[in-house]
Amino acid sequence: MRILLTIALAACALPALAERADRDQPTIIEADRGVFDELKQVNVVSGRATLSKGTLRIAGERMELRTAPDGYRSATVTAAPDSLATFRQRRDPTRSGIEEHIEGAAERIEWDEKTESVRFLNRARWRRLENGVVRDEISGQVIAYDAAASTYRVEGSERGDGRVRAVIAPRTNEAPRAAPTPLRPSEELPAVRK
Amino acid sequence: MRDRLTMLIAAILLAVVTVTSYWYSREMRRPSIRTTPLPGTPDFIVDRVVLTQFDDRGQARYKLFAEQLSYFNENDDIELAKPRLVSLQPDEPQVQASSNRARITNAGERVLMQGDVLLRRAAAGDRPALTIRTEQMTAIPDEERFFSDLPVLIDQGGTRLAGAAMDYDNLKRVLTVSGGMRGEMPPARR
Repeated sequence: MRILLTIALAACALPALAERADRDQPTIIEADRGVFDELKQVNVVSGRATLSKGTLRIAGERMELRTAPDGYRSATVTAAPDSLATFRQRRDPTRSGIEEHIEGAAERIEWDEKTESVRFLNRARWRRLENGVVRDEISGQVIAYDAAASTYRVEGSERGDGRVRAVIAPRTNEAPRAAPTPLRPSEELPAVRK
Repeated sequence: MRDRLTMLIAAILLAVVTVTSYWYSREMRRPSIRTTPLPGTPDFIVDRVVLTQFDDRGQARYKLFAEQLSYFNENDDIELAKPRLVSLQPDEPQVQASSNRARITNAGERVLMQGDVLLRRAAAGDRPALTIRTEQMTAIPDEERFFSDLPVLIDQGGTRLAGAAMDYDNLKRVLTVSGGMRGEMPPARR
Protein backbone atom coordinates (compact mmCIF):
# COMPACT_ATOMS: atom_id res chain seq x y z
CA MET A 1 0.00 0.00 0.00
CA ARG A 2 1.24 3.39 -0.86
CA ILE A 3 1.31 5.78 1.97
CA LEU A 4 0.96 9.36 1.05
CA LEU A 5 2.52 12.01 3.10
CA THR A 6 1.03 15.38 2.79
CA ILE A 7 2.61 18.54 3.90
CA ALA A 8 0.81 21.79 3.55
CA LEU A 9 3.11 24.70 3.87
CA ALA A 10 1.56 28.00 4.73
CA ALA A 11 2.12 31.13 2.74
CA CYS A 12 4.31 32.64 5.41
CA ALA A 13 6.66 29.72 5.15
CA LEU A 14 7.08 30.07 1.42
CA PRO A 15 6.40 33.56 0.15
CA ALA A 16 6.17 32.52 -3.46
CA LEU A 17 4.10 34.96 -5.42
CA ALA A 18 4.14 34.56 -9.13
CA GLU A 19 5.64 37.39 -11.12
CA ARG A 20 2.61 39.66 -11.62
CA ALA A 21 3.96 41.10 -14.85
CA ASP A 22 4.00 37.61 -16.38
CA ARG A 23 0.20 37.59 -16.47
CA ASP A 24 0.01 40.17 -19.22
CA GLN A 25 2.74 38.59 -21.32
CA PRO A 26 2.02 36.56 -24.43
CA THR A 27 2.53 32.81 -24.29
CA ILE A 28 5.25 31.63 -26.66
CA ILE A 29 5.49 28.02 -27.79
CA GLU A 30 8.50 26.60 -29.60
CA ALA A 31 9.00 23.03 -30.82
CA ASP A 32 10.10 20.93 -33.77
CA ARG A 33 6.53 20.28 -34.87
CA GLY A 34 2.95 20.93 -33.86
CA VAL A 35 -0.42 19.32 -34.55
CA PHE A 36 -3.41 21.60 -34.00
CA ASP A 37 -6.77 19.86 -33.91
CA GLU A 38 -9.58 22.38 -34.19
CA LEU A 39 -12.44 19.94 -33.62
CA LYS A 40 -10.96 18.28 -30.52
CA GLN A 41 -9.54 21.65 -29.37
CA VAL A 42 -6.24 19.96 -28.51
CA ASN A 43 -2.85 21.13 -29.69
CA VAL A 44 0.16 18.88 -29.35
CA VAL A 45 3.67 20.17 -29.94
CA SER A 46 6.66 17.87 -29.74
CA GLY A 47 10.42 17.79 -30.11
CA ARG A 48 12.22 20.02 -27.60
CA ALA A 49 9.02 21.79 -26.69
CA THR A 50 9.17 24.97 -24.63
CA LEU A 51 6.50 27.28 -23.28
CA SER A 52 7.40 30.73 -22.04
CA LYS A 53 5.32 33.55 -20.66
CA GLY A 54 7.28 36.48 -19.30
CA THR A 55 9.80 35.02 -16.85
CA LEU A 56 8.02 31.65 -16.78
CA ARG A 57 9.58 28.88 -18.82
CA ILE A 58 8.61 25.22 -19.05
CA ALA A 59 10.60 22.80 -21.21
CA GLY A 60 10.07 19.17 -22.12
CA GLU A 61 9.79 16.79 -25.03
CA ARG A 62 6.05 16.93 -25.64
CA MET A 63 3.40 19.45 -24.73
CA GLU A 64 -0.37 19.28 -24.83
CA LEU A 65 -2.02 22.68 -24.95
CA ARG A 66 -5.67 23.43 -24.39
CA THR A 67 -7.62 26.65 -24.59
CA ALA A 68 -10.72 26.89 -22.40
CA PRO A 69 -13.82 28.68 -23.73
CA ASP A 70 -12.91 31.69 -21.56
CA GLY A 71 -9.58 32.02 -23.39
CA TYR A 72 -7.31 30.73 -20.62
CA ARG A 73 -4.74 28.11 -21.51
CA SER A 74 -3.39 25.07 -19.80
CA ALA A 75 -0.47 22.86 -20.71
CA THR A 76 0.77 19.40 -19.81
CA VAL A 77 4.47 19.01 -20.48
CA THR A 78 6.08 15.59 -20.47
CA ALA A 79 9.76 14.70 -20.56
CA ALA A 80 11.61 12.34 -22.86
CA PRO A 81 12.30 8.92 -21.32
CA ASP A 82 15.00 9.05 -18.60
CA SER A 83 14.79 12.80 -18.40
CA LEU A 84 12.71 15.43 -16.60
CA ALA A 85 10.63 18.33 -17.77
CA THR A 86 11.79 21.60 -16.23
CA PHE A 87 10.15 24.73 -14.90
CA ARG A 88 11.62 28.11 -13.96
CA GLN A 89 10.01 31.39 -12.98
CA ARG A 90 11.13 34.59 -11.32
CA ARG A 91 9.11 35.72 -8.30
CA ASP A 92 7.89 39.21 -7.60
CA PRO A 93 10.60 40.96 -5.62
CA THR A 94 9.46 41.33 -2.00
CA ARG A 95 12.75 42.37 -0.43
CA SER A 96 15.08 44.82 -2.10
CA GLY A 97 18.26 43.42 -3.49
CA ILE A 98 16.95 39.84 -3.52
CA GLU A 99 16.00 38.17 -6.74
CA GLU A 100 13.95 35.05 -6.19
CA HIS A 101 13.62 32.20 -8.64
CA ILE A 102 11.60 29.01 -8.49
CA GLU A 103 12.93 25.96 -10.26
CA GLY A 104 11.18 22.65 -10.63
CA ALA A 105 11.50 19.38 -12.47
CA ALA A 106 9.36 16.27 -12.88
CA GLU A 107 8.43 13.66 -15.44
CA ARG A 108 5.25 15.66 -16.03
CA ILE A 109 4.45 19.30 -15.36
CA GLU A 110 0.90 20.64 -15.50
CA TRP A 111 0.43 24.38 -15.81
CA ASP A 112 -2.81 26.33 -15.61
CA GLU A 113 -2.87 29.95 -16.75
CA LYS A 114 -6.11 30.90 -15.02
CA THR A 115 -5.33 29.66 -11.50
CA GLU A 116 -1.57 30.17 -11.97
CA SER A 117 -1.07 26.75 -10.48
CA VAL A 118 1.67 24.29 -11.37
CA ARG A 119 1.75 20.57 -10.57
CA PHE A 120 4.90 18.51 -10.73
CA LEU A 121 4.21 14.80 -11.09
CA ASN A 122 6.55 11.79 -10.67
CA ARG A 123 10.10 12.26 -9.44
CA ALA A 124 9.13 15.81 -8.59
CA ARG A 125 11.73 18.31 -7.42
CA TRP A 126 11.28 21.90 -6.50
CA ARG A 127 13.57 24.59 -5.15
CA ARG A 128 13.61 28.28 -4.36
CA LEU A 129 16.68 30.35 -5.02
CA GLU A 130 17.62 33.76 -3.71
CA ASN A 131 20.22 35.51 -5.83
CA GLY A 132 21.20 32.13 -7.24
CA VAL A 133 21.56 30.42 -3.82
CA VAL A 134 19.25 27.51 -3.04
CA ARG A 135 17.19 28.38 0.04
CA ASP A 136 14.37 25.81 0.03
CA GLU A 137 14.31 22.42 -1.56
CA ILE A 138 11.50 19.89 -1.74
CA SER A 139 11.24 16.53 -3.48
CA GLY A 140 8.41 14.03 -3.64
CA GLN A 141 6.03 12.16 -5.88
CA VAL A 142 3.68 15.07 -6.50
CA ILE A 143 4.25 18.74 -5.74
CA ALA A 144 1.36 21.07 -6.38
CA TYR A 145 1.52 24.82 -6.09
CA ASP A 146 -1.72 26.70 -5.72
CA ALA A 147 -1.24 30.39 -6.38
CA ALA A 148 -4.67 31.38 -5.07
CA ALA A 149 -3.95 29.94 -1.61
CA SER A 150 -0.19 30.50 -1.93
CA THR A 151 0.42 27.00 -0.66
CA TYR A 152 2.35 23.98 -1.71
CA ARG A 153 1.06 20.47 -1.28
CA VAL A 154 3.60 17.70 -1.44
CA GLU A 155 2.76 14.03 -1.69
CA GLY A 156 5.24 11.23 -1.61
CA SER A 157 5.27 7.49 -1.70
CA GLU A 158 7.08 5.43 0.93
CA ARG A 159 9.45 3.96 -1.56
CA GLY A 160 12.66 5.36 -2.94
CA ASP A 161 12.80 8.79 -4.50
CA GLY A 162 9.14 9.43 -3.91
CA ARG A 163 9.56 10.13 -0.17
CA VAL A 164 8.95 13.71 0.74
CA ARG A 165 12.07 15.55 1.65
CA ALA A 166 11.97 19.22 2.43
CA VAL A 167 14.71 21.61 3.43
CA ILE A 168 13.46 25.04 4.30
CA ALA A 169 15.80 27.87 5.15
CA PRO A 170 15.02 30.14 8.08
CA ARG A 171 13.30 33.37 7.12
CA THR A 172 15.44 36.44 7.49
CA ASN A 173 15.25 39.84 6.01
CA GLU A 174 18.89 39.78 5.14
CA ALA A 175 20.09 39.05 1.72
CA PRO A 176 21.68 35.62 1.57
CA ARG A 177 25.38 35.63 1.81
CA ALA A 178 27.31 34.64 -1.21
CA ALA A 179 27.58 30.94 -1.80
CA PRO A 180 29.53 29.37 1.04
CA THR A 181 33.13 28.48 0.34
CA PRO A 182 32.99 24.96 -0.99
CA LEU A 183 34.77 22.29 0.99
CA ARG A 184 37.95 21.06 -0.51
CA PRO A 185 40.13 18.18 0.44
CA SER A 186 43.08 19.20 2.54
CA GLU A 187 46.20 19.29 0.54
CA GLU A 188 48.39 18.08 3.38
CA LEU A 189 47.74 15.99 6.40
CA PRO A 190 48.50 17.61 9.74
CA ALA A 191 51.72 16.33 11.22
CA VAL A 192 51.06 13.27 13.23
CA ARG A 193 52.55 13.42 16.67
CA LYS A 194 54.79 10.64 17.48
CA MET B 1 -45.80 15.15 -117.57
CA ARG B 2 -46.52 14.72 -113.89
CA ASP B 3 -44.59 11.43 -113.76
CA ARG B 4 -41.56 13.05 -115.40
CA LEU B 5 -41.59 15.84 -112.80
CA THR B 6 -41.66 13.29 -109.93
CA MET B 7 -38.79 11.40 -111.55
CA LEU B 8 -36.79 14.62 -111.95
CA ILE B 9 -37.27 15.59 -108.27
CA ALA B 10 -36.21 12.10 -107.19
CA ALA B 11 -33.10 12.27 -109.41
CA ILE B 12 -32.15 15.72 -108.01
CA LEU B 13 -32.61 14.52 -104.40
CA LEU B 14 -30.50 11.44 -105.09
CA ALA B 15 -27.78 13.61 -106.68
CA VAL B 16 -27.76 15.95 -103.64
CA VAL B 17 -27.43 13.01 -101.24
CA THR B 18 -24.62 11.48 -103.33
CA VAL B 19 -22.67 14.74 -103.58
CA THR B 20 -23.10 15.50 -99.85
CA SER B 21 -21.94 12.05 -98.72
CA TYR B 22 -18.96 12.23 -101.10
CA TRP B 23 -18.06 15.68 -99.71
CA TYR B 24 -18.29 14.36 -96.13
CA SER B 25 -16.11 11.33 -96.88
CA ARG B 26 -13.52 13.60 -98.51
CA GLU B 27 -13.67 15.97 -95.59
CA MET B 28 -13.15 13.15 -93.07
CA ARG B 29 -10.09 11.78 -94.89
CA ARG B 30 -8.39 15.13 -95.41
CA PRO B 31 -5.82 15.93 -92.68
CA SER B 32 -6.92 18.68 -90.30
CA ILE B 33 -5.64 22.01 -91.44
CA ARG B 34 -5.74 23.40 -87.90
CA THR B 35 -2.25 24.26 -86.66
CA THR B 36 -1.33 22.29 -83.53
CA PRO B 37 0.48 24.38 -80.91
CA LEU B 38 4.13 23.73 -80.14
CA PRO B 39 4.67 21.55 -77.08
CA GLY B 40 4.49 23.63 -73.90
CA THR B 41 2.44 26.41 -75.42
CA PRO B 42 -1.25 26.87 -74.64
CA ASP B 43 -4.05 25.92 -76.98
CA PHE B 44 -6.04 28.91 -75.96
CA ILE B 45 -5.76 31.88 -73.64
CA VAL B 46 -8.65 33.64 -71.95
CA ASP B 47 -8.29 37.02 -70.26
CA ARG B 48 -10.25 38.13 -67.19
CA VAL B 49 -12.09 34.85 -66.73
CA VAL B 50 -14.62 33.65 -64.16
CA LEU B 51 -15.22 29.92 -63.81
CA THR B 52 -17.96 28.45 -61.64
CA GLN B 53 -17.98 24.88 -60.41
CA PHE B 54 -21.33 23.27 -59.62
CA ASP B 55 -22.17 20.30 -57.43
CA ASP B 56 -24.44 17.32 -58.26
CA ARG B 57 -27.56 19.31 -57.49
CA GLY B 58 -26.50 22.14 -59.75
CA GLN B 59 -25.59 24.52 -56.95
CA ALA B 60 -22.46 26.63 -57.30
CA ARG B 61 -19.59 25.34 -55.13
CA TYR B 62 -16.67 27.53 -56.16
CA LYS B 63 -16.08 30.61 -58.23
CA LEU B 64 -12.62 31.10 -59.71
CA PHE B 65 -11.48 34.50 -60.95
CA ALA B 66 -8.24 34.96 -62.91
CA GLU B 67 -6.62 37.71 -64.96
CA GLN B 68 -5.56 35.14 -67.53
CA LEU B 69 -6.25 31.47 -68.09
CA SER B 70 -4.10 29.33 -70.45
CA TYR B 71 -5.25 25.87 -71.43
CA PHE B 72 -2.79 23.16 -72.53
CA ASN B 73 -4.43 20.43 -74.58
CA GLU B 74 -1.38 18.13 -74.48
CA ASN B 75 -1.81 17.35 -70.77
CA ASP B 76 -5.14 19.00 -69.91
CA ASP B 77 -3.32 21.46 -67.60
CA ILE B 78 -4.54 24.95 -66.84
CA GLU B 79 -2.31 27.86 -65.93
CA LEU B 80 -3.71 30.89 -64.16
CA ALA B 81 -2.37 34.38 -63.60
CA LYS B 82 -3.53 36.16 -60.41
CA PRO B 83 -6.12 33.52 -59.53
CA ARG B 84 -8.62 33.97 -56.70
CA LEU B 85 -10.86 31.13 -55.57
CA VAL B 86 -13.96 31.77 -53.47
CA SER B 87 -16.07 28.99 -51.96
CA LEU B 88 -19.85 29.42 -52.08
CA GLN B 89 -21.07 26.66 -49.79
CA PRO B 90 -23.72 28.25 -47.56
CA ASP B 91 -23.31 25.77 -44.69
CA GLU B 92 -19.51 26.17 -44.53
CA PRO B 93 -17.45 29.25 -43.62
CA GLN B 94 -16.23 30.96 -46.78
CA VAL B 95 -12.75 29.96 -47.97
CA GLN B 96 -10.72 32.28 -50.20
CA ALA B 97 -7.41 31.42 -51.84
CA SER B 98 -5.27 33.69 -53.99
CA SER B 99 -1.74 33.75 -55.43
CA ASN B 100 0.30 35.33 -58.21
CA ARG B 101 0.02 32.26 -60.40
CA ALA B 102 -1.28 28.72 -60.24
CA ARG B 103 -1.15 25.54 -62.30
CA ILE B 104 -4.01 23.06 -62.20
CA THR B 105 -2.85 19.54 -63.09
CA ASN B 106 -4.29 16.01 -63.22
CA ALA B 107 -7.69 17.23 -64.47
CA GLY B 108 -8.17 19.53 -61.49
CA GLU B 109 -6.99 17.04 -58.88
CA ARG B 110 -3.98 19.14 -57.83
CA VAL B 111 -3.41 22.88 -57.76
CA LEU B 112 0.06 24.37 -57.29
CA MET B 113 -0.09 27.99 -56.15
CA GLN B 114 3.02 30.16 -56.26
CA GLY B 115 3.95 33.68 -55.18
CA ASP B 116 2.13 35.55 -52.40
CA VAL B 117 -0.14 32.66 -51.52
CA LEU B 118 -2.95 33.69 -49.19
CA LEU B 119 -5.49 31.28 -47.80
CA ARG B 120 -8.30 32.66 -45.67
CA ARG B 121 -11.18 30.95 -43.92
CA ALA B 122 -13.85 33.23 -42.52
CA ALA B 123 -14.83 33.18 -38.84
CA ALA B 124 -17.72 30.88 -37.96
CA GLY B 125 -19.43 30.63 -34.59
CA ASP B 126 -16.75 30.63 -31.91
CA ARG B 127 -14.01 29.74 -34.42
CA PRO B 128 -12.01 32.83 -35.37
CA ALA B 129 -10.91 33.51 -38.95
CA LEU B 130 -7.84 31.58 -40.14
CA THR B 131 -5.22 33.12 -42.43
CA ILE B 132 -2.28 31.22 -43.94
CA ARG B 133 0.49 32.97 -45.89
CA THR B 134 3.35 31.35 -47.79
CA GLU B 135 5.26 31.53 -51.08
CA GLN B 136 4.13 28.17 -52.46
CA MET B 137 1.28 25.84 -51.68
CA THR B 138 -0.20 22.69 -53.14
CA ALA B 139 -3.95 22.18 -52.83
CA ILE B 140 -5.96 19.01 -53.40
CA PRO B 141 -9.45 20.54 -53.68
CA ASP B 142 -11.48 17.31 -53.50
CA GLU B 143 -9.77 16.30 -50.25
CA GLU B 144 -9.68 19.92 -49.00
CA ARG B 145 -5.99 19.45 -48.23
CA PHE B 146 -3.38 22.20 -48.46
CA PHE B 147 0.33 21.72 -47.89
CA SER B 148 3.56 23.66 -48.27
CA ASP B 149 7.27 22.90 -47.98
CA LEU B 150 8.18 26.56 -47.64
CA PRO B 151 7.94 28.74 -44.51
CA VAL B 152 4.39 29.56 -43.50
CA LEU B 153 2.77 32.22 -41.33
CA ILE B 154 -0.53 31.28 -39.76
CA ASP B 155 -2.83 33.67 -37.91
CA GLN B 156 -5.94 32.66 -36.03
CA GLY B 157 -7.73 34.85 -33.54
CA GLY B 158 -4.58 36.71 -32.47
CA THR B 159 -2.50 33.53 -32.23
CA ARG B 160 0.44 33.73 -34.63
CA LEU B 161 2.24 30.61 -35.75
CA ALA B 162 5.36 30.37 -37.89
CA GLY B 163 6.66 27.10 -39.27
CA ALA B 164 9.08 25.70 -41.83
CA ALA B 165 6.41 23.54 -43.50
CA MET B 166 2.70 22.80 -43.09
CA ASP B 167 -0.15 20.46 -43.94
CA TYR B 168 -3.76 21.52 -43.37
CA ASP B 169 -6.73 19.20 -43.64
CA ASN B 170 -9.92 21.27 -43.83
CA LEU B 171 -12.20 18.22 -43.47
CA LYS B 172 -10.58 16.96 -40.26
CA ARG B 173 -9.65 20.55 -39.32
CA VAL B 174 -6.14 19.46 -38.36
CA LEU B 175 -3.14 21.68 -38.99
CA THR B 176 0.34 20.14 -38.80
CA VAL B 177 3.39 22.39 -38.71
CA SER B 178 6.80 20.75 -39.02
CA GLY B 179 10.49 21.52 -39.40
CA GLY B 180 10.54 23.85 -36.38
CA MET B 181 7.70 26.06 -35.21
CA ARG B 182 7.07 29.08 -33.00
CA GLY B 183 3.67 30.15 -31.78
CA GLU B 184 2.73 33.35 -30.00
CA MET B 185 -0.57 33.64 -28.17
CA PRO B 186 -1.88 36.85 -26.61
CA PRO B 187 -2.64 36.84 -22.85
CA ALA B 188 -6.20 35.92 -21.96
CA ARG B 189 -8.44 38.93 -21.39
CA ARG B 190 -9.16 39.56 -17.75
